[in-house]
Amino acid sequence: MFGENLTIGQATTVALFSISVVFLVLLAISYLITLVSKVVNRKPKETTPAVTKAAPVAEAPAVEKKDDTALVAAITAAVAAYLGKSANSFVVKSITPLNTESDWSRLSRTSSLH
Amino acid sequence: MLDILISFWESTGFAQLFQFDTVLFGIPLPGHLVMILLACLFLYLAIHKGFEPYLLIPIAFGMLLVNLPLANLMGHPVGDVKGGLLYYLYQGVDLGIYPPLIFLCIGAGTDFGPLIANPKSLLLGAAAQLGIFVTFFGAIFLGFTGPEAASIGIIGGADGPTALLLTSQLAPNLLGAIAIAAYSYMALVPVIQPPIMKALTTEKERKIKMEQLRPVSKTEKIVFPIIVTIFTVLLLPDAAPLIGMLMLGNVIKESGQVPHLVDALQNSLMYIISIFLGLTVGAKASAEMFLRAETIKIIVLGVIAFSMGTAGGVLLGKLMSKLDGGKTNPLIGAAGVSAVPMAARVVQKEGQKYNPSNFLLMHAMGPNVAGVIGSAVAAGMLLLFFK
Repeated sequence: MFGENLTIGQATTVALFSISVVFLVLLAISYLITLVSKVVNRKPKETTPAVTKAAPVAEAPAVEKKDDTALVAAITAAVAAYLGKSANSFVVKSITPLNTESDWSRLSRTSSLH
Repeated sequence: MLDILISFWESTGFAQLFQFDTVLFGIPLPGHLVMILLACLFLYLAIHKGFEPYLLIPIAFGMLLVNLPLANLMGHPVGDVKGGLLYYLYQGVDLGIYPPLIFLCIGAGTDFGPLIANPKSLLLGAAAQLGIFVTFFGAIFLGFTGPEAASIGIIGGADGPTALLLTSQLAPNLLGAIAIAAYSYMALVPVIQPPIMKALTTEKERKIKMEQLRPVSKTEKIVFPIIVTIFTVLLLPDAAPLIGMLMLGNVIKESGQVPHLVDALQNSLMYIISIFLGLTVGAKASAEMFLRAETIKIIVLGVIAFSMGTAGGVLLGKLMSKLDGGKTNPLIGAAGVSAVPMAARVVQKEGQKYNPSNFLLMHAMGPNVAGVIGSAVAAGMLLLFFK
C-alpha cells in the first residue's frame, strides 16, 4: 500500500491506524469470549455436585462381607486426590474390583505409562 | 614450488579470512573474521550463560558457517551449479513456512484458559504492542524505509516467529540483525522489564492481590480458537498464516482426541523446525549484511521496542486498576509483550517480591498469550501496508 519511503505524516497514519486495529480486534475477541462463555454456561447447570462415577480402582478386592467403610473412604480419598476435587463433589456408588485383566496385559499397560 | 604453495594458500579459506574487505564507520575490517568471533561469542552466551540456548546455538552456528569464506553455503543456484545447503534450507524462511509451523507448535502448548477466564486481559496484550509502533516511528525517523522500519518495530512484539515472518517478507536483508536482537532481548526480559514495572507503579498497586480465576469449561476452550480464527482471518487475511496455525495447534490440544499429535507438535516438530529456523536465520548474518551501522541502530531500537511495549502494558494495567477499584494488579500488563512464558514469570517474581503471598502467574498468562495474538495481528497490519 505504501512505497519504500514514508513521510512522517504517512508513518503517523500507519502507526495510529495499526495500533487502533490491534486494540479493536482484541477488544472484539474479548466480547466474543464473553458471548461464548455466556452461551456455553447458560445451560441449566447439570445438578452440579453429583457427578456419579463407578471408580475403576483395581485395588484389594474385599473378599468377605464385612464393614469396609474404611476401605471405601480410602478409595474415595484416593479418587478425590487424583481428580484434584473435593470428596464432596462426587458420590461413590459402587466399587467393583477389576479382575478381567491378565498379568501380561497389566504389565504392558503399566510399563507403557512410564 | 613456491608458486604452487602460494596458489594453494590462496585457494584456502585462511587467505580470505584476513582480507580487510568490510568497511564499518570508515574503518576497513576483516569482516569474516569479525563475524566468526561474534558467532563464537554468541555460542558462549548460549551455552555457558544459557541465553535462549535452543535458538541461539543454531543461530550462532549458522552465523559461523556462513562466514567461513569459500564454503558458499548460502550460494544461490546459478545455471547448472546447485546452490549451497543453507540456501535450500533457507527457503523455509524465505517462503514464510517455518515461522507459522513454529506457531502451530506453540498453539499446541498454549493454554488460553486464563485469557478466557478474564477477557479483559486481551486489552493488556493490545496495549503492549505499543512498542512496535513507537519503534516503527523511531526507525522511520532514523532513515529506515517503511518495510525495514516495520520489521524493526515488530521486535517490540517480543515474539520470535512473528518477527522472523514479517522480516523475511519485508526486509530479508535485516533478518540476521533482527533475529539476534529479538532473541537476545527475549532472553533479557528479566533484566529489561522489572525496572520499568517498578518505575511506573506505586508500592500499593504492586501489592494488589487478584481474585482467583474462574474455571473454564472444555467447550469454551475448544470454541475459542475456532471463533478467533474465523473472526480474525476474515477481518485481517494477512494474519492468516500465524493466527491460523496457532489456533490449529490449539484446537488439536484442546480437542483431547489426539494426544500423540499434541506430543509430536510440542516436542519433536518444535525442535526440528527450531533447528532449521535458527540455522538459516543465523546464516543471513553474513559480514556484508551484518557489519553495518544499521545493525547498531536495530539493537538500540530493539531495546526501546521492548521497553515501550512493557510500559504500554503496565500503563493500561494501571488504568484498569483505577477503573475497577483496585482489583487488577498493573504488573500483569508487563506480560502483554508475548515472550511466553518468560514475561509472565517475571511478573510472578516481581509480584511476590512486594507481596510474598501474591500469585500473579495465572493472571499474567492471560495478557501473555493475548500478546501473541496481538503481535500476530500487528504483523498482519504491517504486512497489509508494506507487502
